[in-house]
Amino acid sequence: MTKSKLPEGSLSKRRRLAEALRTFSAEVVACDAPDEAFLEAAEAVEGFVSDLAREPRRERVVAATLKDEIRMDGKRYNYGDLIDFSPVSGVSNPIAPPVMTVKEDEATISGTVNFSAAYEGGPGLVHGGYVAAAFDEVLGLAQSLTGKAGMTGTLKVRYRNPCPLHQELRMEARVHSIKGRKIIARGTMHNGEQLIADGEATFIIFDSERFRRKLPEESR
Amino acid sequence: MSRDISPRESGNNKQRLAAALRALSVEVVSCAAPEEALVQPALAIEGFCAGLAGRPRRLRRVGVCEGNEAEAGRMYEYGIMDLSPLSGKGNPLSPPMRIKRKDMNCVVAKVIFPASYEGPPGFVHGGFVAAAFDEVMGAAQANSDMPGMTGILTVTYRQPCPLHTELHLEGRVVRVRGRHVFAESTLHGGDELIADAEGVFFKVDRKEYQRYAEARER
Repeated sequence: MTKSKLPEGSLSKRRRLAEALRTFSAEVVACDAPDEAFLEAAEAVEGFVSDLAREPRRERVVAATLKDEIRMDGKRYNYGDLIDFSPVSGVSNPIAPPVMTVKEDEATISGTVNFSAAYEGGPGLVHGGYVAAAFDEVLGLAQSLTGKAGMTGTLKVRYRNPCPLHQELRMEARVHSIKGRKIIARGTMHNGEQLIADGEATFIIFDSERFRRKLPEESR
Repeated sequence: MSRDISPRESGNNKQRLAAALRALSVEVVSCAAPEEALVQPALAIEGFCAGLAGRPRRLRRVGVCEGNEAEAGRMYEYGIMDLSPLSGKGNPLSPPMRIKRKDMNCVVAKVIFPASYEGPPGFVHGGFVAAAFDEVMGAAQANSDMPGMTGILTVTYRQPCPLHTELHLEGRVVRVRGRHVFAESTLHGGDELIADAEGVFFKVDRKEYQRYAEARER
């Protein structure tokens, strides 16, 4: 399948489609409707899928160094294409809530997120896995502020209070320590004043050549 | 206005729609289509959304252990999974994971993550490896008839986790101490151990869950 860069101007349309899908997913999960109500949409969406499947595939380019990989859009901060396509923070990814990841300063990443009904785990609460995913994202980005590329070794999340849906949640992450090739980042998630969860991740700094050798053939 | 519905009630059309939306999400992140090709789907989806918005909200039954309703010894699909963003057949966000009981303390799961879950090029976003563990260990715990909430989740990443590949997970309750339930889980791609995890869950009284459900605003 051919690969190509994203055509000019398509990103804003893509973001709009992703946002429409987010809202729709929340409706599909949350509403009580007879099964027939979903048939028309199912057929339409299947049609869109086959149309788009004929298009070339987006080419993903990975920069040679971490420094070149880092992308910023205003204060928003991420690696390469993930700034739009991350399943956690990508505004063009319908899976993402999204967590808006922002570089506050040279040492701090912040994130804000509001989880819709589509992310429900316990009743009225965010699925614990998505809380963990949000921490993985912001802690990894905090680690990248050091300028060294690291692979996640461990992630630990402590859930302190139930995490509610439909609330503007605030996250913060910082590098806690650097010891040789090991970097530890820590972060928190708050709902207003209440601590929802805290997280810690350890990263092992690797040399980029080893990483590129691990990439699947077609991405190199 | 809301209606108590068993999660198993999600019909064929809804599951078909969820599957179609999953595939569309893959296209949104994967295709290099020009802008015109993306406008019509957005308008149509927005229209369908408006059509559903006026409908009543569904009230999910509090019993996390619906999945536990299987007769002894029978394999079953984890019951609550219609809604879960990780294993719900009716949730467009889920891959979905397919979770089954192995024995009283153990569940097994299979999942394939498509491109919409990509983190590093060609690999699953680490956060979704964590999320998969949370789901599987939560299932193991509920399978043991102890609904609960995650207290601590610890994930150790051994290898990058490949996309487009059938992954196998196993989740097991290893110890119970009062309200604390300790679980462990592994994730394999073929024979390779990709990652493993430990979880500490807190048993939640069904009345407490009911309070959360009643407090929920929709």
